[in-house]
Amino acid sequence: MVPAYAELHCVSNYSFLRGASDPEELVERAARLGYAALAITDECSVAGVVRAHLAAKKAGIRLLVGTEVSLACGLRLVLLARDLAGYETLCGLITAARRAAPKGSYRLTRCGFATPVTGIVALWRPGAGEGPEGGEWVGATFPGMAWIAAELHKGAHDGHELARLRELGIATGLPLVACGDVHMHARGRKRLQDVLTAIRLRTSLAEAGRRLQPNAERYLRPIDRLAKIYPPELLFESLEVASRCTFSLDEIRYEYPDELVPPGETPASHLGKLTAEGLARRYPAGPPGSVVATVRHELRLIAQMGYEPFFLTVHDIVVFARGKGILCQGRGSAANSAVCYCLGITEVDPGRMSVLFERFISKERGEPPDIDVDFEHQRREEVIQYLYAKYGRERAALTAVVITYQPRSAVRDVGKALGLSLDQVDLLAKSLSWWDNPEALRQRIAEAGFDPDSAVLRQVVDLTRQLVGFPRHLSQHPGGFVIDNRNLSRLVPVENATMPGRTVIQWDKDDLDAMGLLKVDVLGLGMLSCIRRALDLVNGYRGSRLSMADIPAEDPAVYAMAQKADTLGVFQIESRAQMAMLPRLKPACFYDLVIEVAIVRPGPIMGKMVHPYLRRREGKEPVSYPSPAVRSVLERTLGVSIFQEQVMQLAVVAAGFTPGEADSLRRAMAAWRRRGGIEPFREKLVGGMLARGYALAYAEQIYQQIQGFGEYGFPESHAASFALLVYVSCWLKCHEPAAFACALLNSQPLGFYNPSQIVQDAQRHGVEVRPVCVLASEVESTLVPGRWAAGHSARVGDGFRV
Amino acid sequence: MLWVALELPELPLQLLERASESAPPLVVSEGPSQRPIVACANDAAQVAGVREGMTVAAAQALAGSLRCVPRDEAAEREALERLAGWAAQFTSTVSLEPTGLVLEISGSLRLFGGLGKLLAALKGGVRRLGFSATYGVAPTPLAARVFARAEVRGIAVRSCTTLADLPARLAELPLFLLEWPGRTQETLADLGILRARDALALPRSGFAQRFGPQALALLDRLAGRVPDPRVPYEPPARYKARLELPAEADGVEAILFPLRRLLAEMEGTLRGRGAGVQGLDLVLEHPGRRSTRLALAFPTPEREADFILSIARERLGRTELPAPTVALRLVAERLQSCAPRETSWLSGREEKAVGRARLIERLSARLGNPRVFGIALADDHRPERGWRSSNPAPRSAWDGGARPAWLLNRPQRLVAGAAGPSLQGKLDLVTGPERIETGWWDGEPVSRDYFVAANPTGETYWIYRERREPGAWYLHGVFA
Repeated sequence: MVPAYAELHCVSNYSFLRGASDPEELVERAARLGYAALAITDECSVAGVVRAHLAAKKAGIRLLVGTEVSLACGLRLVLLARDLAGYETLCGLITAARRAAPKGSYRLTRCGFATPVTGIVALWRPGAGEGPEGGEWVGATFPGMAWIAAELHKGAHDGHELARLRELGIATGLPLVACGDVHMHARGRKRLQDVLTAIRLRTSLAEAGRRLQPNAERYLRPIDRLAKIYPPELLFESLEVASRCTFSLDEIRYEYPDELVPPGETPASHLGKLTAEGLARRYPAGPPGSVVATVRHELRLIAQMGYEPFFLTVHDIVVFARGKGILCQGRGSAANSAVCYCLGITEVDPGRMSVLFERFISKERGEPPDIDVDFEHQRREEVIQYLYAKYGRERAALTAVVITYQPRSAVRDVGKALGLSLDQVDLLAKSLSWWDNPEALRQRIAEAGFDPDSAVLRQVVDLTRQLVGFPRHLSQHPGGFVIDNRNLSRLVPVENATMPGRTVIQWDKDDLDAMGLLKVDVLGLGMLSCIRRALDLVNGYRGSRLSMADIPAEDPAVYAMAQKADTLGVFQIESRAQMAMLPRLKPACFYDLVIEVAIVRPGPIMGKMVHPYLRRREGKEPVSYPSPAVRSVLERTLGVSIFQEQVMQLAVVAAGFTPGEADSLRRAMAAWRRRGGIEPFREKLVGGMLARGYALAYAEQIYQQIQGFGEYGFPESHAASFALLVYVSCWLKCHEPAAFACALLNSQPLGFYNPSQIVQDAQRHGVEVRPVCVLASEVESTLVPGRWAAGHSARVGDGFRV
Repeated sequence: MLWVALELPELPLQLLERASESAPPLVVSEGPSQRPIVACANDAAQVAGVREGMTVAAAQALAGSLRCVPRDEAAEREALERLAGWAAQFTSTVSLEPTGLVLEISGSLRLFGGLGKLLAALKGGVRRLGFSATYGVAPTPLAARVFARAEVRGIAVRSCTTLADLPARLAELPLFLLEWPGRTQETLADLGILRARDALALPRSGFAQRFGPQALALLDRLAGRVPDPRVPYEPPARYKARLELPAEADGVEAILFPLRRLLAEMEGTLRGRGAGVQGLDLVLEHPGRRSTRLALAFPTPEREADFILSIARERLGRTELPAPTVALRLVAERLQSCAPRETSWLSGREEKAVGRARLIERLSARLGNPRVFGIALADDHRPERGWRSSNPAPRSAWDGGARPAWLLNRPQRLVAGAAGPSLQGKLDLVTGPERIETGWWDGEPVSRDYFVAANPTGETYWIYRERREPGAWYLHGVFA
């Protein structure tokens, strides 16, 4: 009978430059080996536990959450959360330790622990020559919940080690438990683990010497092998320890901030009231029936999922911004709902785009809605400070972004570790372009003049491939905020960001989505600043009170200008590629602009969808759909996948993916550069489509599209939000060229063109530009009735005239 | 102030006689080469009737086996200088005189335990160097020299340690012992002023008028009425010494005696300067051929004659001399400060134990420098790469697993049956496995499980199981 075992001490690659395996790889392997449970205990971090949690649910193995720490006095511990309260304590400890040290390191002392600590299991890892004093402290601080970790790896002193630990156990009264000090999921990762050590020590493998681990035993070992190394009672003890830890990340629930809902109201009632008010405001003549129906449908969905607080939070932010005259615009599938239009979060009229909002919230996904808000770039900081002020630094924090190894940085670090000289490494690194997938690496190496078959280069290629996608460090997301009613550091540890005064949590956006925590992206968009300035100028000299919502829709003159590609300065469609596309695509309505924004992107280009779409649009190719299901998805884009959601929807309707599987596909597409991600789906995609009677050629085509999309496909809702700004800026350029050019100059740097080009373009449109004048000019460019004087900031040499 | 003067009247002879123990008849000649005159004759020659002043031809007629060597004043001067350097171990104020040295020793009396002990050490040392000298002790250098020269002529003078006593001691000494300027001495003699007492009694102004201020100054200095500073001799920064052998020396043994003398002289010089040498060239001159040069090197600065002699002896033993040796030279280019070796306070017991540095030096001298090296740790898990040769150095700490004292150059395949490996008996695995898997990046990967194993006769080995070849066992080391 094979004994059972639970691994209590394991670090993933979120212990940067130490662990050599993903959390998923570790979880899957532990499940395959039949472990009773696996603890992910990254060093002073829980950055990887959400991914591990999701993988553990899928693999059917119990996950323990914990962390490994070294105290300032040299004591080494593994701490495991027993229950929710213990988890909160753990997060508090990690937060305190991280905040007490510069970014990237931590400092924890014995004083940081209350005595006694409850809700946490502590495993003591005595170092060589350490006496029982540390263990006594551990036993006193974690009464009844302290063990000595026995970690044997076929080292030099294994025999003595066990005896020594037993003696320590007698001296301190702590029982022994078998642990693995696992750094990788399989022995094959040892080479990568060595490379990580060399990178961490900033040296080469040859010079790292005995600082590398002597053998590959720190992996998830099969239980029968463990049985030969550890006495059975120690293995059994691991189950004992695991049984004391019942905490699961599922227990974490989002709590919305109390301030959002006025007393006497519920979130649902408050949202309903605000929506009704907004509806009346938006449609003073009375809302159309379709819109009302949509609003009701959405509110029902929101209530079902309990997502009211998300909308209320964003509404609050937008109200603040509007109150300060900061232009803002919501973005994202949920942002472009009818409810959000009523709340003023977005300006996209659902009446204009009835086909858009079928699955804005995926009920099956169980994920909170995706709401980003773009603010004027130059005033974004005010919004951020408002959030910190309103919720306090304890309840609001920035999300993390995991900076991972890209092909170039991976080749650099691997090359240095293998002892290549700095210029060789540079040559290798430069020979890769950002787009390359790891398979092209070999070819590039040969082109750079190296011999790809030499042992060293083969190792470089192999290890680079393994390293790409590995987390390197946490960085702060530029605007992703997480807000909760409780002190955040009890949900997830908070650490110092590089910017002084900024703090960041250890989870990134995907982790927050999985955990159901409120996340709002507060982003800056330069064009919003420009539009506000232009509107201010126009209102200034015309005496009007024009706002973005007041701009007349579907003006043919605007579309005519766009079709001529006379779009210098216009949001999104001013680049050369866009200017080449505009005369071909000839946008004539709002939805055309939506397509225009999304089509000139790497996704559709690499998916080879651009030309088929154009040909169909120009009538050179017949539009056909292999099935009504496909038709419903692709009709609005002439049978061609342009938007990211269409790909997902195709997988569901044509290949029979469940929404959950489609979601995995979406994640894999986002992460394909990391792990060559969507290969596993190929079988299911093509097979599914074949099973439903589609031609192989079509299935292959769809698969290729999906591969090309990767994370470069643009979601329809985002394209719609952008299309609105495209229209507004185009309208301004068309009807108020002086104000537009002036605003554009004052918002520099913005866009593709420099001030000189902007001025020349304005002049071509009949605007008189006055040169810089010491007497008359202001710091910014201004409009003068009858003329526009260029300000000092413009540095141009001619005058404008309206 | 207290001065000791050394007179070496027979210096020309002793230059040659130092080099050997026996003293066959020997004269030093000077004068025109057509008609050389005997300047000095040693005892053996004098017994045969040779006297100073006679022609060499006459001398040779008296003693057939007489050896005659022309006088080499430069060599005499050099020898005096070396002796001055040697004498620096007694005091730092050593001054050269035409025929000897004067040493100011008032500062050294306490160190040496009093005048008597100092004089004994000085005299003994000089004798060991192969010189014979006479000594005088007085409060002024001139007086000391007078005393020493008096002794040469057989006039015994007691040491005088205070100025007050000086006139009394000087009183009876003849005036020709001083080196008067010009013909002063003859004039004084003509006037009947023969002894110091007389000269000192003369009125000063008259004396100066008659004989010149220089002569008066000489008297004043003699009596201590006027200071008589001497410039201390500064030996050059390098040490050079040459000793000519009385006869051609064949082989090594014959060289050792003069070499010991030379080394003793060098030791004194070095001791006086608190210095030692780390590199010393010993040159053996052969007639008509290129000299043999031995370069001796020491890990730390040395000066003790016995030690250097033993090193030199070993080197000479391994060197083949192409021809007999006629002269020895010692050259040390750099003198370095040398801390004195602690002497054991268990005096009387000869220290047999040799220090580590000395042992290494001896072994290197005997076996050749490249063959003596130390072992240091190298930073690598692979045992064959875990060490490197280095200069012998103190031990470094090892905290890893057991490592054998002997490591095989190449691991040796063991016979292994179903019951496991065997080497002169079945091997019992005592400790292990210690798994070492590393080195994949430089083409020498290692993947082994190491065990300490013992066979029935109790021999302990370090063996491993090669993980890439199932069933393959290798021997890698032996525990002493």
